[in-house]
Amino acid sequence: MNEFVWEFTTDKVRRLIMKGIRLDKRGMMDYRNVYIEKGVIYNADGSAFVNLGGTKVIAGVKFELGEPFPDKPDEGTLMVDAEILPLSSPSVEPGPPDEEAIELARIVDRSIRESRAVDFKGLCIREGELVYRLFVDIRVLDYNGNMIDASSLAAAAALLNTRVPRVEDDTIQPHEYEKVLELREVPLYTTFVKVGKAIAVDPNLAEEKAADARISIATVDDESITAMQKGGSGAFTAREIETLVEESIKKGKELRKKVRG
Amino acid sequence: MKRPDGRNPEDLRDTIRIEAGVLDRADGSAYLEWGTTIRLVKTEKDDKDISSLEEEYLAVKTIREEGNYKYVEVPKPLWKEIEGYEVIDEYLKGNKVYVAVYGPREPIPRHEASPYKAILRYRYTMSPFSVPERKSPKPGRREIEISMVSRMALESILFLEEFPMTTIDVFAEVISADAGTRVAALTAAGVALADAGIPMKDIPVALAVGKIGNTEEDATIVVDLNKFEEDMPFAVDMPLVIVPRREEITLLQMDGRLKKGDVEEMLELAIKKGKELNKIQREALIRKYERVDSHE
Amino acid sequence: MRKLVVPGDVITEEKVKLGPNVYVEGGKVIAKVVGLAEVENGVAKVIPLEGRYIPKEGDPVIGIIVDVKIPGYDVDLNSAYYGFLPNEELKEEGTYGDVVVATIKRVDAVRNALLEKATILRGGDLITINPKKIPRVIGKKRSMLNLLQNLTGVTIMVGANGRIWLYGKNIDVAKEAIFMIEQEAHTTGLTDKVTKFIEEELGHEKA
Repeated sequence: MNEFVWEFTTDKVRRLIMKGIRLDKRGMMDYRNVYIEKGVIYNADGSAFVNLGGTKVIAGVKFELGEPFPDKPDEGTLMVDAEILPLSSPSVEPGPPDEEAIELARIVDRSIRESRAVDFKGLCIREGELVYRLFVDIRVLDYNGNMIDASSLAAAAALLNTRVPRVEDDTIQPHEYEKVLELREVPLYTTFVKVGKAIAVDPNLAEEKAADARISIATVDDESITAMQKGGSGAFTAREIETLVEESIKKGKELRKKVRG
Repeated sequence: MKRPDGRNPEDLRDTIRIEAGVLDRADGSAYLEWGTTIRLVKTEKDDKDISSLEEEYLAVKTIREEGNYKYVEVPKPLWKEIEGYEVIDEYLKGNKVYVAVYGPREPIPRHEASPYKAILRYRYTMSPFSVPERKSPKPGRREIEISMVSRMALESILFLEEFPMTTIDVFAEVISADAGTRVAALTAAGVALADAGIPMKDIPVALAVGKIGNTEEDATIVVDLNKFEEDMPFAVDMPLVIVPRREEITLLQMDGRLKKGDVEEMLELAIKKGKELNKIQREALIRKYERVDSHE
Repeated sequence: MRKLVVPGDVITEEKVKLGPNVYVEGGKVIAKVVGLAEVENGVAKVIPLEGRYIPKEGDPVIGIIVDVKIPGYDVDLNSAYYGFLPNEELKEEGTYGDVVVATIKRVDAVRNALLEKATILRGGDLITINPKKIPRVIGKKRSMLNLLQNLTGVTIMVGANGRIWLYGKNIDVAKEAIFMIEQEAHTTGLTDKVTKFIEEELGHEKA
């Protein structure tokens, strides 16, 4: 759609949200409905489909075998890839991932890696020679705003559903499993947008377009923060960020219940 | 010869579901599931009945052993053989495809537009996790070729001349694969195009016919090959797009070794089964409106 | 009698004139799109239920100015095709993002539209629905539109291109009612349903 056409909706969203009213009648700190289905892909070692208020994302986990990195000879590796598919919105053109998709992949990657959610040492087969390489692939199918939270939910749900394949003669035995992948943490992002001075959680598409700034905060069970990303060209005050950290811990707890359930 | 999942030669796979209008942002969309529903049975390792079933049918398969027990996948056509067994899980093993249609819309880039008709674009891709070995996210030569023949299969069925200077985009994403993904994508695309309101002569339907066996001599003509069948020692696969009303074929690929008479028999079978599949497409579109009715 | 059809469905084998969205093959009149088929006064047609807007001469449309040029304005019509609005067809000066209501004067060979008799719509609210459902929002002889306006007191401008502009107090109720019509456009008894809905909603608000 033409940018000026968006401007019209954007204006309206801005006017209302500054009065504390959201177009879809949610409260400023209300999350949209979340639907999660695990184990949807036969050939994946773990998978999940997430529908967050119309934003639909699928995540699949697969293992390969390979050499470890020289600086971490006794650890398995992680690779997160994300694509915002051209199916998902009229403004996505087919082609290699653009900066938005790469940012998305890196944000999700950091939250999993830095929270030490996965026991990488447990994914070593022979030190310095052979380790599991863990791939998390995220595909955005339908884009109605806040794909960061939707993708982090899908990745977490898929990892919770993941089994580690059995290895024999240095090859993976399909559909034979060694164990359930142990997840020490379930890192989840909560994303907020700032419009003028107003702040709202889980932005829909129109709110995202209207926003001056965005912030995503990943939290885990013990209320630690494991990753953050500020987006958009506007600014947050330090005081605002403190409040949002509190709120993201609260939201993270609710979401983790859903993703584990 | 018995088919690996216990089907008759003329049977499509046991589970085919299509839903129209599943994506909010697209002008038209469809989601398709096409495969076999598996029951995972837990039984003792030396269970003779299950073991002989495993010997007879490739798709009856022990996927895991634990102590004295084994877990065996049993496809739907053989469920009558496992009455009384403990069923641990039930899931679909097959193709799952999302298709989105955008358009008619402004062409990008603009110089690709035609003053005589809409330009159709078709993009078929597979998610990395859809196949047994993770697929690289970069589109390969296979996906590029499939996209091209798929586009051409649809062009003559659509009234593209009604929309000069525009593009119609069809995007298909295979999220789960088990043989026949290109025809699964095209069958879903037929529904998604109708759901987008694109005028067309008929809803195109796609499926594969083939010939399978342990040797060329004992091979049988079958419809809708699954992965086990594609991997058999003798396997011929022929994906087709059929315009059901006219019984015309707009996509045909084949590799293997066939006798002259086989082609005729296979095409006849494909047209007959294509019409069956076409009913499922039509019902999916009609159901979209019944869904609304039932809210009242 | 209207019947829900999908592309390829035979509407009739009788000799009839061809209306919109049908074609003939081997003496059969066949549907091109998903919609409601009818044969009336010897004309077979399908009223489409899906699809983007294609400009048609005489259509009232609601557009958004997306470019300002010396002879006039480029107008987005919620379509693959653009509208052009010459300066003399707009009484005041418009600018980027202005919402205008206009009539399509002519459509050129590649479907772009020449607009006339335009007015800028200020304030109010703009919504977009499936353009194919607009005829139900208007109703026979504007009956549905009159009903909506009378019951809610909202001023409603309807564009054939799926855009609807609303102005007044009970905008939210009017909007919900329009979305309801969009969802159930292919069903019968809509007038009663809409009346009941609006009366209940407004009743609640009073209470």
